[in-house]
Amino acid sequence: MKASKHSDNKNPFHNSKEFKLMGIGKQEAIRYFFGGNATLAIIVIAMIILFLVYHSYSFFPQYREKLELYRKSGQEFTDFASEQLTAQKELSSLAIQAREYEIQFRLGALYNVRPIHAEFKRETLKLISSERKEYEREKTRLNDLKDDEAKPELIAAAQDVYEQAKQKLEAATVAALETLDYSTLANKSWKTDPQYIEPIRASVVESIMTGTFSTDFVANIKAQEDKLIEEIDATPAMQELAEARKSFLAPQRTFDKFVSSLRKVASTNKSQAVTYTSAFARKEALEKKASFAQSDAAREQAEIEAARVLMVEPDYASLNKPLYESLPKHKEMLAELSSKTAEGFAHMPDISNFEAKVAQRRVRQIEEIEDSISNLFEEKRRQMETWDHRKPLAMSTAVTGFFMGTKWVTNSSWQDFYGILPLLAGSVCVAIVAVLIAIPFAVGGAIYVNRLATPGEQKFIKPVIEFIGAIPSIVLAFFGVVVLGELLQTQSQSAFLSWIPGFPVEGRLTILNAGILLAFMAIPTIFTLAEDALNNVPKSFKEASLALGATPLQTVLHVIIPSCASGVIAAILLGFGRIIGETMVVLLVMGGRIAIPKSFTDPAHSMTGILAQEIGEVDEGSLHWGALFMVGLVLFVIALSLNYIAQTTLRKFAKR
Amino acid sequence: MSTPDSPQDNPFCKSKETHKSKENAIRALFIIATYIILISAAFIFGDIIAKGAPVLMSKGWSFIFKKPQTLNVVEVEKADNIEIPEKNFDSLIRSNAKHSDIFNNIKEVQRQHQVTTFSLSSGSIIGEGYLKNLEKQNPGFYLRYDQRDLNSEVAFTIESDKNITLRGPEFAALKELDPELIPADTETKERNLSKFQVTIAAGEYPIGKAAHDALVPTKLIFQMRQTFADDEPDKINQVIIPSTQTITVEASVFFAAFDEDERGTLPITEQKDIPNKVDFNSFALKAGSYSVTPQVLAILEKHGAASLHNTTLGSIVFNNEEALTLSTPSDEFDILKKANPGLLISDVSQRDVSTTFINFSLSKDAELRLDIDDYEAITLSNKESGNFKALSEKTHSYSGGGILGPIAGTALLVAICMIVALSTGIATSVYLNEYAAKGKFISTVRLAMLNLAGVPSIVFGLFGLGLFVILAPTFTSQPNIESKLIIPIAPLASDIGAREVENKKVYVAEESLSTSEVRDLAAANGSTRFYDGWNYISFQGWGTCMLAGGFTLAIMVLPVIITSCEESLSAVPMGFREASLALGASKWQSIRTAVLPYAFPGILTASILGITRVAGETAPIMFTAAVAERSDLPWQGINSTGLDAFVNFLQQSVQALPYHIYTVAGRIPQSEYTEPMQYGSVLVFMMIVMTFAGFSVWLRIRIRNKIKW
Repeated sequence: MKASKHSDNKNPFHNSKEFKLMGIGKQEAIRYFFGGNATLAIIVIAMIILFLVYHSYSFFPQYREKLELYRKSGQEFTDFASEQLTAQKELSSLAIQAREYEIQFRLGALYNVRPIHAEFKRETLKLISSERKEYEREKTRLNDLKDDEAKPELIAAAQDVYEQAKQKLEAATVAALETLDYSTLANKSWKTDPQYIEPIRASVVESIMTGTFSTDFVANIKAQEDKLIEEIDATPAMQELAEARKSFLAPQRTFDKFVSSLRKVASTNKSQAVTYTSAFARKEALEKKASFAQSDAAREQAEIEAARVLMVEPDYASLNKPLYESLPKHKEMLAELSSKTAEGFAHMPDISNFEAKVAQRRVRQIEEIEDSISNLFEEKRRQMETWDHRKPLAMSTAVTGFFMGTKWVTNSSWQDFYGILPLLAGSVCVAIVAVLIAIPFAVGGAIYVNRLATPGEQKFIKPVIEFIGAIPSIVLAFFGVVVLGELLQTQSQSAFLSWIPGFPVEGRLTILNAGILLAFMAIPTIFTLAEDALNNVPKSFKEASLALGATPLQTVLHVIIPSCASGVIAAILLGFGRIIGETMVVLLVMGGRIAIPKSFTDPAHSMTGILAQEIGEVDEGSLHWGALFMVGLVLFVIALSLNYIAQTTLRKFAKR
Repeated sequence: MSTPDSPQDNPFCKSKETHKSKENAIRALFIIATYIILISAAFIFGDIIAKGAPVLMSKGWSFIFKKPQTLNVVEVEKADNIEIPEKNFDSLIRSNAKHSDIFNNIKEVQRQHQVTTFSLSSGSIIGEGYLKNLEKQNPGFYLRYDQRDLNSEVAFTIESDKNITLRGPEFAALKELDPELIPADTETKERNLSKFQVTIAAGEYPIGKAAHDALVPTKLIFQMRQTFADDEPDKINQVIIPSTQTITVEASVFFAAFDEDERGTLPITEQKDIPNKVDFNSFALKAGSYSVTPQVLAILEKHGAASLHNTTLGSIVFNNEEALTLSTPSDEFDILKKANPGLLISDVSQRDVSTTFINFSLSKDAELRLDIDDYEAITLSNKESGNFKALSEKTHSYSGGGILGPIAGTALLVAICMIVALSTGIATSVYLNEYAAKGKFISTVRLAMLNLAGVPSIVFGLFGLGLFVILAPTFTSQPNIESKLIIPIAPLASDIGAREVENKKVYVAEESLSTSEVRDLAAANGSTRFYDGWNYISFQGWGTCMLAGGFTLAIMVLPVIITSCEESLSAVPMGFREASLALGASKWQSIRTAVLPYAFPGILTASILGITRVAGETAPIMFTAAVAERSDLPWQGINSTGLDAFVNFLQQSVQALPYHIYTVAGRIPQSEYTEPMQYGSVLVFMMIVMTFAGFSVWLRIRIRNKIKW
């Protein structure tokens, strides 16, 4: 090829006169534009941190102020006493529940016959409403005729129509009942027994036709129940339980009265304190309003309102005097409370007397409380005696109050608490359950697909699992609410699963339910990454192992897996990170109870869930807002560190 | 290779038999693990399809093309000749497909009513309520008026003779304004309404809630140690009177606050009665129509003259350039004409409109499920005949109708998100792959991207809330007074109509005031925005809207887009670029002509992958864009023009499909009536998302297999 001398004009790409501004030509401009876009990732990460910090940095000082007010107004003092009572009240309610569950268990299918009867009747009435109305109409007409003493032939005709309507109603009732079965019950966890179904149907027909509320059958069942309950209550263990309950309940009333008298004092104090804290701002706002008022009348009114603001700090010493003076009385009452409680514990029957697992769980909880309650009583009493409303509150109290606090209470008329521990515990707990469920399936699947499956299976399974990864979380959450919860609850009742701790599951929405769904979400992530890691193992490893006489499976278990372990671990960590940041499933499926979960079948709340649930209803800049952004910050830090550890592990692995 | 006689030497081979069965068992475990994943996926899909498909079958296309509504479950008595507009009948049948056999004797009937069409010319004067009615009856008509009139006459009608009693001053005012209105036979009674002058000594007293509430509107200065809560009417609190004061109060206040016999009242040191004689004038107003000034109507309104006029702000003046042609039912036209003497009406014409109704009988009592619009239509059309008798009625929010609003909202969110994410994502990946040399900057970008990918989606939601919803700058002539920062740009703002001022509570200020003064003034007047003829850049956030949601989603999906775009760019062989550069092309030319076209399939895959991720997300849009309830579609009900209309369009909150599912599955009480809506919307949502997901999986496989340079 020969280059022409005037190639400038012929070269289609070349533009001889390039426009430049401050040394930046078109090429540079394009370059900088692209480069500018590339910095976006850095900017966004920086801004996320900035915003989280900006909205939450004032949280701790504000929270400290709130807690100081809580102390000054004597609410803290009141809560010490109230915590003693709450812990004790737990005992009596557990005892009642234990009895209730035990009776339910021992009665078996009999226990649910009456509720099922009621439900069948309700459903039947829905199905036959038209026939029933007709019947009622005819009945009224007949009665009216009789009352009016009409001609006998008219009455006879009406009687005929009435009889027909009655027969029609009966036929419709029987037909409607045929469509009802145990499987149509709304509450699937009810125990059923086929021997009762026909009597129930017959009784429903009778009850509808005669219009009476109760039938012989129902009365009979009730009598049977009562008799059995009497027998159960007569057993020594149950009598002991009743005694224990009585002892637990005995001191509660007077103690309750005492606590509520303290509460009254404290809430008056709090109200005065709150009025005072907002006084300056209110006065300023009203004075401003007065100066900008459009009319004289409005100005005068605003000035009067400004003058009405009280600017004197409440005298906490005299306000809290009744609290200090209540100490001797409290001591006396606490002695009574402890002695009665101890008496109750002495009466508690042995756990082996209970047949129902759920009842056993309650008794075990009572035993757990027995170990700790006297310490709690003593500790709270000491705190009350040393309590001083003037004691200043260190900033560290607010910090530990957030990170170590076990209470997350918002919008309370008494006092709000922002302790992240129950939320953190819920999030971590569900993530661990999910990962434990996901690992065997995801890693096992990856090994199988990568090393053992036929090419045809590989081609099919890999895209399908990728496809599963695209299921939106809200769909899984919906599935958990509508299907999985009930499935778990009913299936966990079966006897051969009862060895699992925490079974039978008591509610539909639990950590376990959410954990299973989250595991399902994490499986594609872990699977894909673990498969990649398996892929990256050098071929020579496999060949050497096979050459030594190992079978393919031995090669996988003893050579391949150890050599890619760090890759698999990184995969699991990334999966964990994805789970802990998941929102919709934990929000809808985990039950939303804000308390530290005791077992993996309890309901719980989570950090992501609380954010989704509460931030929409909070005023910008309030303490609650700050607390929620603080939760967001904690979540962000956890997710980021998990991500960082996983990436580092992955990089180390890749380098090797 | 193991030799048969020395199995012990081989570390892998113990005994052949046990070894074989163990091997098989472990292999079986792996197979089970793999297939359990697939089976559970099949179970989930199966359940949703099995319960969702019948819903879609029975509701048909109306499920996609109707907006979500409240579902009314009505128990209806059996009756003949129930009428319902034709368009509602189909939806009635579809909602009650389970017992469609009870609808009998179905026949079409025509019903006629008269409609009057008329023209209104500029300068017409109309009462506020009448204008709103006209706007409701004429879709698309929205009057952006800029003037109110307090002088021109308004009219009202009294159905039957009425006795009106007015106090002295009011009566005098009325007499002066409109002497003709008042008949000669006026009855005047004099009554003594005493006032009290009381003196309260300085000090601290207990006070009850009733006494406190009575004292609030008086001029007494008192200071409360604590405020009263609404739910404790019997509480006694301490009140401080800072100085001895003498005030004059009316009798009602006196008896509530100072009566010695009552509990929680204040003691007084001195008391003086001030006689206060008031005339009460009674007269009869005959039935008929009256044309009066707004001030007269304002007085009479308090005593029972009903109208739709706004007497405090005044009537509205039409400012249309050309005559407007409007229509209204004939009977309402007469009322309109009578009540508004200032209307300049011309070209009145009447025509009959016939509507098709369906007439049917219910063969037995039944429980009908009716969307709220069907329910309203059926009750309205049977109002006279009384054939539609509802025995009981229960409502289930969001459970009726279809899911048009959520689908539209999700589509808009995804569109905004993808426009933003793709433009920046492609630019970033081009820079990373084509321009950037290895160095600190690039490794920082990559680190940031990796970390961004690991941020929980709800944190992106928080970020979007903090940045886009409450802080992002907007260009406006009516900045919010709570804006974080307001920067004036130019005094060029277009005039603001009176209607906008009223609707948005805009405070109209003079230009000479400083911004901070205007803000204070507006706040003191209870306005949330101000206008002073300037355009501003105001850092007030975009509010909960689709723009904020789209940007939040875009930021969330950015790492995914960048990574997969980069992958496809780096798959283009180096030779392409080298050849292009060797031909003398500039860097950008070679990227544009030799790289991007070949990376296009990969970029397409990236965008579809992005759509899949974004469409399914709920957490980031929960508080940046989504609302549970919205009566109209995003493109309906925007009453501005030009650029403003576009901005207003983007700045509105939308329903979104995942959020709708969250609402129906988690925020409303569960019942059998909500189930069709739940399963229907989940199935449609799954179909949309999974189509995109399947498409992206398929594309990726295809690219992996086919394009090998």
